Amino acid sequence: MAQEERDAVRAAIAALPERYRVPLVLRYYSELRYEEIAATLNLPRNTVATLIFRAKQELRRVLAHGKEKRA
Amino acid sequence: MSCFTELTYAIHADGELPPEQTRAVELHLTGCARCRALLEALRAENYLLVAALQQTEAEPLAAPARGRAIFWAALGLLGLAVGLDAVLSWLSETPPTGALAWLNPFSLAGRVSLFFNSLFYFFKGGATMLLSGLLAVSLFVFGPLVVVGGLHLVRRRPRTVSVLVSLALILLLAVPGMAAENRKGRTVTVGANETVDGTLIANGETVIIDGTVNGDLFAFGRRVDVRGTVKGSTFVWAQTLSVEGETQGNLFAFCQTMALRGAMGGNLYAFLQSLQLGSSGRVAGDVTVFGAEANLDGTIGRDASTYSSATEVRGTIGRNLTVHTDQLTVLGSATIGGNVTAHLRRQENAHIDPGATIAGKTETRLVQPRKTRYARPRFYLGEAVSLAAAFLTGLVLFWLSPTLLAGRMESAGAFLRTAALGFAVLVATPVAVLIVGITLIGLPVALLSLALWLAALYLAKIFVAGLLGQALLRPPTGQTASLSLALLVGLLVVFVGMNVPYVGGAMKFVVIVLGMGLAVLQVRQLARRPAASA
Repeated sequence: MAQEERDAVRAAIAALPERYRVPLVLRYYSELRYEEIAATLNLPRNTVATLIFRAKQELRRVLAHGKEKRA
Repeated sequence: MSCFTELTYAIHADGELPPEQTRAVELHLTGCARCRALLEALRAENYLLVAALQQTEAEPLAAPARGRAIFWAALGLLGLAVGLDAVLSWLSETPPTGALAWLNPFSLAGRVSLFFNSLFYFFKGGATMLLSGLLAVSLFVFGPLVVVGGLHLVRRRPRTVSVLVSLALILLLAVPGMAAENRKGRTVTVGANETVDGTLIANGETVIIDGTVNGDLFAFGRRVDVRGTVKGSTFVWAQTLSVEGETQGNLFAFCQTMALRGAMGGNLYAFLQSLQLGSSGRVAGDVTVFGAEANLDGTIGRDASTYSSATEVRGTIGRNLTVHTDQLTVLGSATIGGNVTAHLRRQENAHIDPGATIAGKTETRLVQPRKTRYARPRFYLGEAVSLAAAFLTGLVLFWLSPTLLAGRMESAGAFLRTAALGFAVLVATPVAVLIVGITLIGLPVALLSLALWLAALYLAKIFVAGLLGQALLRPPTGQTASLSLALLVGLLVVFVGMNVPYVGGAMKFVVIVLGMGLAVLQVRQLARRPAASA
């Protein structure tokens, strides 16, 4: 993965609202399972799943937008 | 069955669907290409996130499942090899009766006999075939390494390479050309009235020297007969060597049987099965023999040392006689001008006739057969301590700088390139240090480089261990394994591999070469990104 791409993704993640960012990072950086994230954040498991899903949707939007800007 | 929602596939990609749902989804996927594509895209997205968030550059080396099976099989073989070594060692302890010694493959005599017989059986065409075979094998192994390493260097540092090449050329051209006469054929003869001025390289089935060689003699063949005179040194690789004439310099012989009835001006160094120093034979200097059987009837000017199965002394030895042998016999006709020191397994194996004339002391030292080091607990303790030290060093190193562990080797090609780089660094650095250090101005730099080189040598194991551990422990979901566990497992494998009885030495070389290459590559990564941090 090119350093530039990695930086872009990380910047996008940092720009996410907290309720999306935290579960995403817990899942793909700390490698916690949904169950564990739910316990940590005191949320239902299904909510965690949905938040992560929404986070990824938002990331796709931001990154696509960013690519358009650069193009 | 209709397609599931994207959310469902996303959870499935995370492996977090409950079992019944998972089954249903997988059932659907077998029949729906579109959803399969969607799942693939989601998985790729996950991978991207992991790669972006986690520090490592790319997927660490992944060991395929079959590779792991091979690894465990190798471990089993290792146990077998250790056991074999122990058994062999125990067997060599029990000395067989004299005559059987030739056949017993576990005794030194038997082994030497077996070695020479198989050597000359398979290479009937002459010893030169064996030599060229050995040469070919080593060229085949090291040649590509050197070439690839060289290419790698050329690509990265053209200026350094041109300097090195010019240096090498100067050195090569400075070596005075060897003016040697080369004779090949079924029978190579130097006639009785013939004189060879300079060095002679004789290569044939039979080599007969009746005349004079004014320089050195290199003789390779099945049978070498020196009946004339060799003024320089003699190097012989033959099945049978007979010296009836005179060799004025030193004689280095590697043969099956040697009969010396003539005169030798210098020292004799022989590696052979059987040496007969006839009663008319005289060696002015020392005699050092590695072999199965040595019969010394003639005269030796100075010291005689034998490492053999059986030594018999009938003649005269000017100074000391030192033997490491199974059986020593000194007959009454023997005269020894110095001390007699015998290293044997048992006192009874030394038969020194009281009628023999020994000017100095006679001493018998009993030698315990070497116990294989695998039988000694101290060996394991030493290795364990070494491993613990390496583990701690590795932990500190990789905790301080995770980039160092981020090496990757995607293919066999990368593996070979890294090894070649390591080999080049391994060999070139001491040379460079010497060259730079000789100009005293460069001494501090040279010393620093030497210290770094030594450090890299030690750390090589750790780098390889880190990479290996990660490769072995990597769970199939594509995440990196815990650092300390990976390091520990890797170190265990490396240490065990380097101590395997017969192949261990080669393994050590591979590890060092690979580790040096990795170290160089990773340090370069580090230098490239000084500000890189989580």
